[in-house]
Amino acid sequence: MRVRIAASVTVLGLLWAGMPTASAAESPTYNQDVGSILLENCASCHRPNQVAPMSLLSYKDARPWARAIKSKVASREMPPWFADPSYGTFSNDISLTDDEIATVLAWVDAGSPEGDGPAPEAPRFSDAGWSHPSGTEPDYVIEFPIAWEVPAEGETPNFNLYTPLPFNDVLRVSATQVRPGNYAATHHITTGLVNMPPGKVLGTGPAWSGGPMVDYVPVDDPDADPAAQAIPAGRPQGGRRALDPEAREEAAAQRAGFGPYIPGVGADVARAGQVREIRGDLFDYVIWNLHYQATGKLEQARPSIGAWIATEQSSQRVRSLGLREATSEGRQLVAAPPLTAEERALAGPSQVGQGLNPTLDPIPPNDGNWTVTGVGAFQNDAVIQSLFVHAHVRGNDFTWLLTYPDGREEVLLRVPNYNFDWQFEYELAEPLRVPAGSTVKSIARYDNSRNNRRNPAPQKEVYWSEQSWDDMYLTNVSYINADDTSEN
Amino acid sequence: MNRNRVAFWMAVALVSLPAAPVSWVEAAGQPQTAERRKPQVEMVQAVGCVEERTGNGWWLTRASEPEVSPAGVFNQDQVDAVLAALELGTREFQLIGVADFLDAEGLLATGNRADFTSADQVNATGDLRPGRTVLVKGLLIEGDEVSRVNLTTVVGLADSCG
Repeated sequence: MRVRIAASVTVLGLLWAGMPTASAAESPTYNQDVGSILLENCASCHRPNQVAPMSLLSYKDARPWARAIKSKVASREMPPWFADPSYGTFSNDISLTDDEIATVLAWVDAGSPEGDGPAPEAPRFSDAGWSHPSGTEPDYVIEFPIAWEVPAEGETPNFNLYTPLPFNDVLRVSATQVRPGNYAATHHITTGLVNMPPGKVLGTGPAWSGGPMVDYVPVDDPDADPAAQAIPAGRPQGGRRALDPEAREEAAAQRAGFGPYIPGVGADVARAGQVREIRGDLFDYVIWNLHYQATGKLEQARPSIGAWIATEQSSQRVRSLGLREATSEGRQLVAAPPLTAEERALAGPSQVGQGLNPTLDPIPPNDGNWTVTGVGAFQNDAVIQSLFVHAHVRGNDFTWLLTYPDGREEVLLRVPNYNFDWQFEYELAEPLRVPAGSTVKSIARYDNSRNNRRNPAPQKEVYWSEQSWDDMYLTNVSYINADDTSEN
Repeated sequence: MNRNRVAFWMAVALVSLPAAPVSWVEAAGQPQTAERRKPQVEMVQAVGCVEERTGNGWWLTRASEPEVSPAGVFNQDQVDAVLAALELGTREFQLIGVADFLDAEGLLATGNRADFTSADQVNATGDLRPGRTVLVKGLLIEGDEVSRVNLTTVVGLADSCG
């Protein structure tokens, strides 16, 4: 009898244990449901020493933020993603599906239970804070030699410093990353490869006209021997050369450095089978184009570059299609006549505020619908890999269109709510083969009205430069030539 | 998350260099110093008369022989030179990619533009109007029966033609 009772109790106990409570049956748990969603879609930024303000690598990390997670996820503010799902699919889309959102919300509403079973395993991340998706550390690191001091208040212009490139051969890389060293104080960093202009040496000089004296600035070489000022044969000059567009594109590709740091950007990883070359055989210096922003306290920023060496050979070279023709506000853009040498001398070296897009008019004050459409042309069969656009805080929405040689028009991408804080390169899930004779257009709209909550000064005209008080229209199509692909 | 943008961002960096290549303005009209590899499709410019054919789109008629032209905006000197030496021809090209060069109504009627463009957001130049003389640039798609130009630029030269 005691045995029977004991057996019955045991059976009941087993049945009870196997029957979840009502709330557990209905609510997701971190270990079973939510952890993997957070780790896959959020943890690349939400981990220590990254741009996000808190880590979401574990239940212990995430639990205190459950209500905030619910709010941000429900509004689709997080994870950030800005492409209209009506057009195209993108391999780097980190937005959550409706089911995933429902799971997260139900988990929070149920009290954010941890649940049974093992916690989902966090992806591997670099210990040093790099962002390669493999979690590996870069094979090669170049650290900027000094920490730049960013004042607590005021605007810092965009400026360039140079450091020697520490190798003199071709570095074939599969990925690169530029890290700012200080996320809050860094507006952006771009890097490139250059040679010192003739008659210049690296020395101490103003970081910008009227700026503080710093090292790593090209200065006049007082001992320069005119005969020795020529750049060695075979090495391109750092400055302007008269080139046809194809040669210009080639030169730009050769000068391509390690990429940028801009908000939302991590490691720049080539697709499988593609490599990039860092041409230490052609260039002697890294140029760091630095732009900082005040945070209200004195900050220090010391950027660094990481490179992951390619382990495979490839002939596929990623190319960049510039959108070289444009219309704006119902006007075909036509450039002013080229300046004569005398006029250039009188004009001086800078075109303040219009340096980037000198054919564009300034955006008038309070204009909420200021438009520009850039056009690019594919003269050879190509495979589009990704689309990118860069603007500042007046940038409102962007639409990419392809016009095929038969006249059909297709929307490739629409970003209805551009956000300066998250500048994604939209990577096509299936690279798109386009025939020679196709054109691509990027239609941009800027909002300089007070309806734009990011707009610091709707009453002002907006000019075109890298300074944050101006705006930019920079677009890019990354592609490879179709005859570079293995299909041919 | 952001592959393939290095060459592009180098171009961005270069605009900050003293006397570095900048944007679209300098692309056109540069001296040709490197040996040119012939592309599959040429970028050309031509002048002619605008004609709209009911149900058959937009055409450039009485057009000049197309000349190979580098990508990039025209500068005013180039436009003035074309105007000064204006000579129509006998070629005919169907124009495609026309939406941005029509009037607002024409743009909104093209493809699915109206899905994402409201009337106050239209960026349409209106340079393609029947009977006008225009200078066009675009990709020349030669065909046995019809040759097409996929437009990148349309500059209005005169409100009449011929």
